[in-house]
Amino acid sequence: MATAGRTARPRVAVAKFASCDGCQLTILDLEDQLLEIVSRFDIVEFPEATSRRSPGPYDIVFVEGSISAPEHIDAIKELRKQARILVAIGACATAGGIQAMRNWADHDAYRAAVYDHPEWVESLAKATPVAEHVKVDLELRGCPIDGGQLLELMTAVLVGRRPQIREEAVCHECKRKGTVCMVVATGRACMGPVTTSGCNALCPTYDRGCYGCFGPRTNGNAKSWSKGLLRSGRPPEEVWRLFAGFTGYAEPFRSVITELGKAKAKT
Amino acid sequence: MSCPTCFCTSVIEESDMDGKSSRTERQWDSCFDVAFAKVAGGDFRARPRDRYRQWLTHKFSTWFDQFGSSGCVGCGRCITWCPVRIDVREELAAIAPPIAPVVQPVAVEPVAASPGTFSIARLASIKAETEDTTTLSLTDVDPAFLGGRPGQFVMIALPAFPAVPISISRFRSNGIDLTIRAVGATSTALVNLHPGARVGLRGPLGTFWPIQEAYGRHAVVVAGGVGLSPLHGLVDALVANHDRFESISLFYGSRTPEERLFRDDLAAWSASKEIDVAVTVDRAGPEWKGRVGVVTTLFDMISWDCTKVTAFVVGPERMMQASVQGLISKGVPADRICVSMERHMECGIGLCGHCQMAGRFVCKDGPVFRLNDLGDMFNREGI
Repeated sequence: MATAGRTARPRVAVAKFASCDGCQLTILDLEDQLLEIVSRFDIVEFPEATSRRSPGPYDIVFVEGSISAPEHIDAIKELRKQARILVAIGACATAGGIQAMRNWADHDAYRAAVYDHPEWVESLAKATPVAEHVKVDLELRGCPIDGGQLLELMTAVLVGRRPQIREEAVCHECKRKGTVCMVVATGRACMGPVTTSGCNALCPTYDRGCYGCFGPRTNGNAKSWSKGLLRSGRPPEEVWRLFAGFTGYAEPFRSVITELGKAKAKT
Repeated sequence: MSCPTCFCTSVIEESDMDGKSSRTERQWDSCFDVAFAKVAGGDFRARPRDRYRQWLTHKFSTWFDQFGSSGCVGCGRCITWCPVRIDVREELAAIAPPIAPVVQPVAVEPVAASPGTFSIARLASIKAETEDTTTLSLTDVDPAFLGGRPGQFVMIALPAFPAVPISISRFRSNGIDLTIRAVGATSTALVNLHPGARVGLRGPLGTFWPIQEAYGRHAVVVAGGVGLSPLHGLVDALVANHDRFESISLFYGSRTPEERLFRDDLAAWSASKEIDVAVTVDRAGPEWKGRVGVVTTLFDMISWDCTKVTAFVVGPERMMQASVQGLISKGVPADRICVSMERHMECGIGLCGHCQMAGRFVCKDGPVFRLNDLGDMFNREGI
């Protein structure tokens, strides 16, 4: 799909819904590779970076953010029509993000607690990931996404191969780095065993438990891990909070949260 | 990846954007990784148990074919560093036939083992099970009791009353349950206590149900009357580990519907898919819709290969003898039947001699015995 007057560079758009823009900044943060990226991709739509706008169709659309307001629903459907490859980037687009915490709460009460004039705010009762509305071709996890994974995905799309993005637990990254397991050694909580890798075990490297921002890993047994955390003497509220973070609305974290919510309500 | 002999890696091709050059990187990997056996068309080991099997049989079996030695150096790292406390020794015991089947010795050191010493516990709540049988839930117990195993018992005492042996019917996270039939002075005094009362405990004592020997087999629990009490903790443990067993069944015989213990738990077990529960009573009024007859009449429900059954039997001795006979005639191997014996006990640690059956101390060598270990003591009157 060539652009007039240039070599066949894929036309790229970057769009956002409800999000903090941190994932888009990860693109801009690839400073050493930016020149190579723009020489190989024609970035025609990227409101975070330029006020120049271009309509579709696009070869690749990167979508940040969750579907959180009524107008988002039509907008994402239109983007899907314009996109050959649609890539959801970040915890909001892939899991609903931190704003999906309202999905378990009273939407109006949340809105009234946050905004002076809740009547000015039009939002949906639930914040949902992009894949609940349209077909997503590829996704990058994390809050924010990892620059290396982004580069690998762009490279793979150019070359025409599958991105080499691993489907493993964060534990594997700790083991490779030689980071001592804090769960076993100190009894602290860590979401690493049920969270997908990609961050190079960032938090455990700095002696902090993983909080699951890359979301549930394939085949991870979140239910069993929540039971283990409870068995170690943690109150259900604390375990609930561990799962109800940036990716809490993604299954199977969602079921664990709902289950623990019931347990809380019982006591 | 905690294992010092793990050598598997993934080969990563880091290509540049024009796809003309790439750098090959070898990255340490694990066969536990979900994508480890994936190909474009699918995944050869899609289920966690497939990946676990691969790891286990490689280390302990096929490593010999490849390298002429074991893939396990015995360092224990995989046990130490498992965040969910998987113990490879238990896993191996589950798939390998036991080399020398023995009832294992006491798992935890008992507290206040010597007669005359007691560890104090508090009565948290009381629940009437039947007209004469009561469950006491004890809390503030020494951690040793929480580390006890199903089948073990405690010596429980009140000031001025002789201690009595009572099976632990249930292990809770913060205490234990004792289910007591009021038949003597101490047991009557115990069931008349009020919450908050303090009691003296010694234990946990005795042998326990060798649950691991039933791994991969049909676990059959046969209970008669209050015999369900020492089996309650076993059933809990079987259900909690139900994946390890071919099937789990409970056959429970009671004199009357009113004398059934743990009726809430029986209902919950009946409703769960992990265990099949069958109950029969010796006699009942018209309101009883279940089976009537002795517990062995339930055995006609056994449809599986009885050579693969491990049975746990507790009840009055006549009932145990009939049950054992019934199981053996069905084809259950005698060395796969465990029973729990009841005898007069005073010291609980094999000193006082009250509980002896021929050469065995029921308190120390039992109360859980493999039928074979009891030999002809089991079916003899007056032993």
